[in-house]
Amino acid sequence: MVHTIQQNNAPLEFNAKPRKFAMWLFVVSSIIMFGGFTSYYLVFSAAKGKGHGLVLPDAFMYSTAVLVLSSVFLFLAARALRSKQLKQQQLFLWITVILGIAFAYLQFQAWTSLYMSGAVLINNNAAISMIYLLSGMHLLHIVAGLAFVVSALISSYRNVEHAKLVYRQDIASIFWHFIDILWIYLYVFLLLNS
Amino acid sequence: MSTISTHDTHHDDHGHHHETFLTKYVFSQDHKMIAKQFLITGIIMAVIAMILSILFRIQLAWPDQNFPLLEQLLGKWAEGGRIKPDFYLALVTIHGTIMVFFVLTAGLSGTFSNLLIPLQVGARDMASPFLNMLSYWFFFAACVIMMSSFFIQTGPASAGWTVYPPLSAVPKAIPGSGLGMTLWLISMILFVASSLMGGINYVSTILNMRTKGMDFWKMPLTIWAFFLTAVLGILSFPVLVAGVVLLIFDRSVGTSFYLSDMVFGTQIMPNEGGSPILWQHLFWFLGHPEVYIVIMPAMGLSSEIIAVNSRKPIFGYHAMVYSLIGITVLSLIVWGHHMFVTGMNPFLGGVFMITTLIIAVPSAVKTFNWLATLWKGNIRFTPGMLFAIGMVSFFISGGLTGIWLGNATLDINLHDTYFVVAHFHLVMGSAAIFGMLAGVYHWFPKMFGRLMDSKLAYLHFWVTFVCTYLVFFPLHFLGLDGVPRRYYAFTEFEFMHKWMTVNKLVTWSAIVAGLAQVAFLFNFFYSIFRGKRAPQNPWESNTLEWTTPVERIHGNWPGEIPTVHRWPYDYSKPGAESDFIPQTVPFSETMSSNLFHDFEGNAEAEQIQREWNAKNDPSKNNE
Amino acid sequence: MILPEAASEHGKKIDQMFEITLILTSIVFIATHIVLFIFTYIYRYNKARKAYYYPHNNMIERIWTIVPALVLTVLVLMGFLTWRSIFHKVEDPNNKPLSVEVTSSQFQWDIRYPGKDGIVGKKNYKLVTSTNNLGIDFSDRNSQDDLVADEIVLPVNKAVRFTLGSKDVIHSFYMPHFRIQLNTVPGMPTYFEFTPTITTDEMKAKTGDPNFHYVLLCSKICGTNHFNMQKVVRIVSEKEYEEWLTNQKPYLTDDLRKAFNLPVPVTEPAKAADTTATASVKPSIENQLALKK
Repeated sequence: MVHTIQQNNAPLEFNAKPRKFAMWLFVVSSIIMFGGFTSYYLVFSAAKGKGHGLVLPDAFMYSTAVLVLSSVFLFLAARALRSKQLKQQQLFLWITVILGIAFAYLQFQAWTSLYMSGAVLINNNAAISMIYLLSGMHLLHIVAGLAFVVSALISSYRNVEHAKLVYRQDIASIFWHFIDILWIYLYVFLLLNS
Repeated sequence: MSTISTHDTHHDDHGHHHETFLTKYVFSQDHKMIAKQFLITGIIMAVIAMILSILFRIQLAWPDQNFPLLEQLLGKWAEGGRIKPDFYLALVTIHGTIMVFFVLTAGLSGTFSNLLIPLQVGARDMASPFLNMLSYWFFFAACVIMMSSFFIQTGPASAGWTVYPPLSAVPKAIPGSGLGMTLWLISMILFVASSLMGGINYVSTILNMRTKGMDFWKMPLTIWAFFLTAVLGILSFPVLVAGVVLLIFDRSVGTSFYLSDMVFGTQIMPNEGGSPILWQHLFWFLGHPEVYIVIMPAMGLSSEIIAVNSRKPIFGYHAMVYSLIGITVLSLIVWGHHMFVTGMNPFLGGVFMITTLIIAVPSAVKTFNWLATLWKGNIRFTPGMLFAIGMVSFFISGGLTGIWLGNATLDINLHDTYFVVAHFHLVMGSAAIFGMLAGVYHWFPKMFGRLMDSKLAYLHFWVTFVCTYLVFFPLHFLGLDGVPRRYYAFTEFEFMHKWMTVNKLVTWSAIVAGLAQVAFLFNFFYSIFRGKRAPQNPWESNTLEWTTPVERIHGNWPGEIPTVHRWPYDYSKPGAESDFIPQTVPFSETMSSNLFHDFEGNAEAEQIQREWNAKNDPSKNNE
Repeated sequence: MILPEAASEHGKKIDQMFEITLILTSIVFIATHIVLFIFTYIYRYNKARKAYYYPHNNMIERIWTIVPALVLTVLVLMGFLTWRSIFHKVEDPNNKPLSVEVTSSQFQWDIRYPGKDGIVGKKNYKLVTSTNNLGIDFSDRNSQDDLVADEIVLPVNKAVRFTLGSKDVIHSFYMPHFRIQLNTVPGMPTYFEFTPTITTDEMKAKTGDPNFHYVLLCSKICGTNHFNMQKVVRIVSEKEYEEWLTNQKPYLTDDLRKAFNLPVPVTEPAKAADTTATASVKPSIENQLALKK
């Protein structure tokens, strides 16, 4: 079959809006997955009359602070991009990445101190196992979020067209701020339902 | 098909590359090609699942007989020519999993959402073609992993498609819960990822990429159905992920989310404190919306096909949409009706009974509206139409028994019996398969530019329709007599002996129905290459996809995307020249058939129409 | 009737609901199918004719939304009330139901009758050993007179309360003639109370089948022999029941008495039992101790 290709060169123009919308939908489905985990926790602790019953390690507090700070820098990066200061955007993105990695490190610290205190993953109290699971699943999201931030960073260095830069930055922002808020929710949830 | 070299003429710089065989047929990002990939993979999986079902039907019909052929085919799973009990359960489990997830979710929704959403809303492609491609390949990987479990020592998962722990969590309980179950869970995670990527794309495309004039109330019912299906998927599939992750931890790490108080023989298991009931909650929170994820696309396809072939507008378009929305919302709060007899709080059982029976109302509305669409129609019996009518019939037959099962009181005696098997095979199995086949026959010209043979299609329809009823209708009576499902043989209980002859009838019908599918498969693959060439609009339909060229070009429309002016159901409109008016025809070209109602309160347009009527047909102004 | 005759009090109520639902749905089933096939036949394609443009009629649509809604409301209310009457039993202290415990495991049912005290004693899965198959805790006085039974025998017209449990995976306790089904879940006891109304002998006469007997089935997929988890159920007169009960043996054997440090009627209690008694809560440890000695 030989196509009449000439009529076919109407370009599939780049349209950021539906893709950003898709990101929002992903955020929704992610919220629902964590909703599934936390409702397991609620039903479990209501049925057994107990939660994890632990004092959460301090590392979680520090990691929360680090994550909030990283969100602030990502916000600054987006603002720098809007005023077309790429150098500044790159700097702030780098800081975000480093803080993200620091967050991951602190989560490992928290797990270690939980482990040391005897609250291990394989536990007859599923609520304690759930602490590992929630923070672990969240950490997977952090990895994905870092990938988005790095993608924004790379396109910033490559100096692609502005619309795409803004799009990549927006995608990274939506997701990163989401996982920031998600972590705060999870942390507060675990604090309240001990 | 020849390779395409003329594509060099592309000069836009938006990531268009040289089209090779690999990018055109394998890692294609074109929604139409992805739809075909979903369809053909779905058909292959359906054939596999059907063969599995015939295998276990043979066991049920002739439990005392040896078939040396089976041993040759299945090796150690059928030593001495008789299927082993463990393998029987594996067959049941994998048959269910493949049919529910791979055929009726990915094969149905994946195929037609991909094909029709951009074409019917007027978009060049999906919101993210890359994500779309990924969605297919995740699905493909899920299929391969699921099938690979047939080739391992301990066999595939065999705890039923609902994989209730502890049976699914402890390899000691059944061999299939070893590696086979691990593969099942991995496959399911990939599948959910695929569904989510697909669903996110569908929703985003429908909300953001409709062509000019295509407002919500001008969308065909197919699009409404795909949209709500995708929304439902996004809302419920992540919960299955949560459930599956916990199950993986219980199985592979040793946590106790679902496990407690277990002793196998005299070996006391270390897990303590979990609750197996919680898996059922998480599973059915997806599981029940899942059955609507399966049936709603079939409803949408059937609505469209029935309207086109009755040459009549769908009756009660708004009611059809609202009932779909009603089903979507209600389906999220009925999951407990799968758990009436698990020993959960009886008060909760009562609540779930109420929500469950309410969901019958929108379903009833849909049925009556389909019947009303047929009334005073001018029905063309195209193959697609026959299957759509078959879908309505199965939906009624299976749906009505839902009123029995949704009633907690009756469910006490019917739960987990053959009555349930008959119910869901009719209402979501057969009805959805018929909706899917209707869609395949109807949109085949859009996919391949050729028509399928209608004589073979009629043969396919009648044999399948009759045999499906012969297979599933008798099963109701087994259930009423108290025969539980997933029984390997009816030999051990005396009261079941009387059902042995019925089992033979059912098995023979299943075999004949299976053979009828050969007619379909031959027709399908033969017509791809040798079928009659299709005209641009073979069914004289109004929707946008039939305004695209038969050649199926990348980007769908040469030049501008057409603008939409009217709803998709202007069939047999009084005063119009032909019995259909495509959505792209403006009202200014159809002055003789316009109704004031069409203008949705646009005073200027109404005034113009009034003046035209006064000149040409004054009686119309009195309406 | 399509269902076998109900042999329990609540079963009759279920059957009433069943009949109403059967009649209603049959009417709808037949009517809609007649309409479906007649319409497709009458309005088949004819070149000369044009279909009738009839996009909607709010009145008709309202009617066929409201009528099913009303019918379903009636069904829901009836179902809800029947459901409540089955699961919410008011305790009558003067007429306590007979307690029977059923434990499922792959692939058998174990029956435990309460003995003279009328109470089935405690058990703990951690106590399971090859001699103490159910993990009965004999330090609970109520357990000590509990009886083993290899069939379920119940007196007619007397309320019975089943306590259901499972040792390994989920099974389901299903007795179709009595309209009973309830899952047995490891770690979560479930309860079903009912009153049988027809004895096995009466049922034999009614069905005209001299081999008739009530069945107990497993209806939740549970493994290889799911299709063959049998237990004979007999409904007999009060007198026959008492007679049968006196022939049943207690669970507590001499070996178990020793293990639980209880007095053995004939011989003196063994000294060694002292040390194992406290450890008996953790049988794995108990075995190790035994080995060390």
